[in-house]
Amino acid sequence: MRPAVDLAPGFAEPVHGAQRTFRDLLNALACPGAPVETAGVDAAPAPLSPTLAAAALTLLDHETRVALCPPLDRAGVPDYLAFHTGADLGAALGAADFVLAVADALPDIAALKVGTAEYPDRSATLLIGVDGFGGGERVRLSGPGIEETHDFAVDGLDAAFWTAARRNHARYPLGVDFIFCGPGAVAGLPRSAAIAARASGAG
Amino acid sequence: MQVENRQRWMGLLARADASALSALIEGLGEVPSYELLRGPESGLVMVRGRAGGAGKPFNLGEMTVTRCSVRTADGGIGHAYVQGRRPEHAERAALLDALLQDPNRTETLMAEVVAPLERRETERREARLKESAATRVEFFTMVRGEDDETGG
Repeated sequence: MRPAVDLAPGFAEPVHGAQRTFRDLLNALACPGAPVETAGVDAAPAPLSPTLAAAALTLLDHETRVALCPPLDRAGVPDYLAFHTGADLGAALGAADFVLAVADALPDIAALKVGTAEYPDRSATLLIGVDGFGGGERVRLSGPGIEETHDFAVDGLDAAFWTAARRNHARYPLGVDFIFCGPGAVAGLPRSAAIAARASGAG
Repeated sequence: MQVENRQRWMGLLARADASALSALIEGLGEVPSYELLRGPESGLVMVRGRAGGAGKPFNLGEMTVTRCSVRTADGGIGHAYVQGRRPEHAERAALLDALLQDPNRTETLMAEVVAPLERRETERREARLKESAATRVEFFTMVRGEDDETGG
């Protein structure tokens, strides 16, 4: 009787791995657009990257409602997340607390939970697996956590994404928050960050 | 059928003597390498019971449980949940659970590991029953005859 699933281990040290990753995610959201180095897990089932897996293992538990966007909804990823976190992985996009996706297959951001006036925190957090930082459409961030401005770009994210992100920021204090998980680092984009097109010719 | 077998051997492995289990593993000789998927880690579970005529569930109390999940080099996955704080026992039980699922090993392991454990458990149970049977008190009810209408 061969097992129907195959599993990979989680954090080598479950408690410390999750605590370190949580601190890295907090720092990423506190300083929007500034990638924070993070260790990730040793191995994760592709197409879940090691840092995206680490973020998921840290943030998800049996009380979180999760939506997995293709290609993360197959190939051993749901079994891995169900085993290690016990999360409810069947949430609809509009009901999910956490949405996992990859940069080249993002869901419709306008369809996600944005919270309410009384409870703006009852919104979705989008965990996006990306190939790196520095490529793609460049934008200029400003707002809480940023001194003056900060230039930011994420591989695989184009002008259409940043337009949607700008619309999301316009709904502040409602809206969703983004965490980009790249190789060896994570970057945060909370709803509080203002997004401007990067002035051409400006360094 | 497969599920029943698995339930049976997982229970036997979990309830086994720690020393008996390690001796049986050593007796296997060559054992494939494996990696830890989770644990061994200890935690608490709430044990529930049923009471009253309606069998209403209630919380009996918390019990320490050690769990472990392993994956062998050839991809088999084994799990174990063991009463108490026993990391080595949980790890061995998980490894055996993985090996027992391998169709190439099932028969051998059932004979060399599971059957001896089952025998020991039956022996232990019967010894306990015999011990308490020796202390059993038989009650006989005496008819007192207070309401004896026939006299005498």
